[in-house]
Amino acid sequence: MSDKTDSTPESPEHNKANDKTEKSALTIAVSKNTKILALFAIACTVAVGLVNELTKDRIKKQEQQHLLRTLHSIIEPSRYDNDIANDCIVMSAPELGVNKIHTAYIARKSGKVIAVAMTSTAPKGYNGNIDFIMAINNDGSVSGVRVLKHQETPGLGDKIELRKSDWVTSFTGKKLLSEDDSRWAVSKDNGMFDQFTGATITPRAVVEGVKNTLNYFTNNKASLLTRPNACGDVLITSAVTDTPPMTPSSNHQSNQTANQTATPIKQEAANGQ
Amino acid sequence: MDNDIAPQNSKEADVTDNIDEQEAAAEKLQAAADLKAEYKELAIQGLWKNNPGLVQLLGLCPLLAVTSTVTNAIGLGVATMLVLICSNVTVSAIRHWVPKEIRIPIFVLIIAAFVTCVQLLMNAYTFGIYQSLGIFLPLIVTNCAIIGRAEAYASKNPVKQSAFDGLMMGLGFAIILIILGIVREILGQGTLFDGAELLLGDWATVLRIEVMQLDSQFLLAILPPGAFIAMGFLIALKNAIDNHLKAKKVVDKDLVIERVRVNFDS
Repeated sequence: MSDKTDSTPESPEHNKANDKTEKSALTIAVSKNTKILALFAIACTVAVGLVNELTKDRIKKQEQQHLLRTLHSIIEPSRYDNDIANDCIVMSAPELGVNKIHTAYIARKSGKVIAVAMTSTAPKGYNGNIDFIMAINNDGSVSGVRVLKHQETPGLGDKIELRKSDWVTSFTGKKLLSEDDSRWAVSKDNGMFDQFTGATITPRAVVEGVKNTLNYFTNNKASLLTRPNACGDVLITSAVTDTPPMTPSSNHQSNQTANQTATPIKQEAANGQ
Repeated sequence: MDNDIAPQNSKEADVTDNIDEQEAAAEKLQAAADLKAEYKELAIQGLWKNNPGLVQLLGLCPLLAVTSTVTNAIGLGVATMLVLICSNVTVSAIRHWVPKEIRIPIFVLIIAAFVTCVQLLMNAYTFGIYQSLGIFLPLIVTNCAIIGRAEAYASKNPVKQSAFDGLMMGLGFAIILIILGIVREILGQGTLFDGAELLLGDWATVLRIEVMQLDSQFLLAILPPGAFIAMGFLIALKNAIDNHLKAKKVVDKDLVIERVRVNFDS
């Protein structure tokens, strides 16, 4: 407190003493309040930190479980035997809707790649981006699609959710015959997928997004599968939205840990743009 | 002499003591009655007269946004109630140490800390509902009902009453949320407790009730405008009930006066 009083600017000579007592009263009040506020801030921070510490492991477990549940719904658990949630690659390309980092989880059986679950985005939804995850079998057919996040109209466009309608399962087993397969469209555009009553834009966007993702994967399959594991210790907080950005250090780490030929992820992103 | 006087004195003291005790007991009774009356008043205020959802119209943003299903409504209602009780208790407990000038930042700090804790706990134990509540869970911080109670009640009253006030206000808010959720879920989807398993665990799937079969969902009820309209009807209903009660009271009074007159005449 005393050094604060000392540090206040000096007042003119004649009423210096008077001013000083006044100022010190104010300073005392201010510094007292500051201390109380600081104490409360510290106490609150400690409380939040404590709760965070207590719930951290459980939250991590919940997120992993959630991710696994999603993955299991599109790739049969019996088909692979690796720790799929911790075996992933990251990529970024305009074909995947938006230029953000997408994650793909690789399912292997005795080391051989069985299927890949890729997160991707359909940018042309009625109300913005539709984030989805799709599993692609080794032969290029679709193993399953699930919508992760969307803002489509409730009751009309939200039938792309499995909870509301089983439309999204119509992708299962479908294959691209050529890069520009005309069957991959909604039936209104003479394609093989139904649209919803009152909502054509949403399914059209999803079909196009899935098609683009499938094309991207088929075209880049070789280079994608040889990428180093990007998961490992890095926590994937959510399948799509909170994918941790690849910092140079973590990139470096994963390059060190993985024994496969490393394709720099940054380069791919640059190629995409 | 001292010995003689002493017993007298002590007798007198005893008498006064007795009187004091009686008075104390009476005071205690009075205090207990007062306390009871205060608790009753708090309950009435929180649940009806000063309901944060219906009368104060505080916290409308989460109220309107997440009440599309009963499950969401319960989740947010319970979370808000928890934060309200905790913040009221803490604010009340520290009310003597908080200088007047910096009370608002301290209240905000406390509320933010509790909301973050509740958010973390919900993330850990009710992951599904945490995801479906989304942004509205951290937004409890900005719910004016909470800082309003901290400022208006908890900062001036003892811990127990403040906790009760928090409980009642939170309950009042939660009830409005749940009523809105019920109305909107039935009208919009024709179900009740859809997705309850997200909140309560897997056994809760049996709670789901198909109230009526809808060919297509009634969009208006699910979208936020539907919430506004339903909310308007709820407020109108409350006011109608209040007016009805008032009118009844007036009629009762008139009747009593008339009877007195009749007696006088006869």
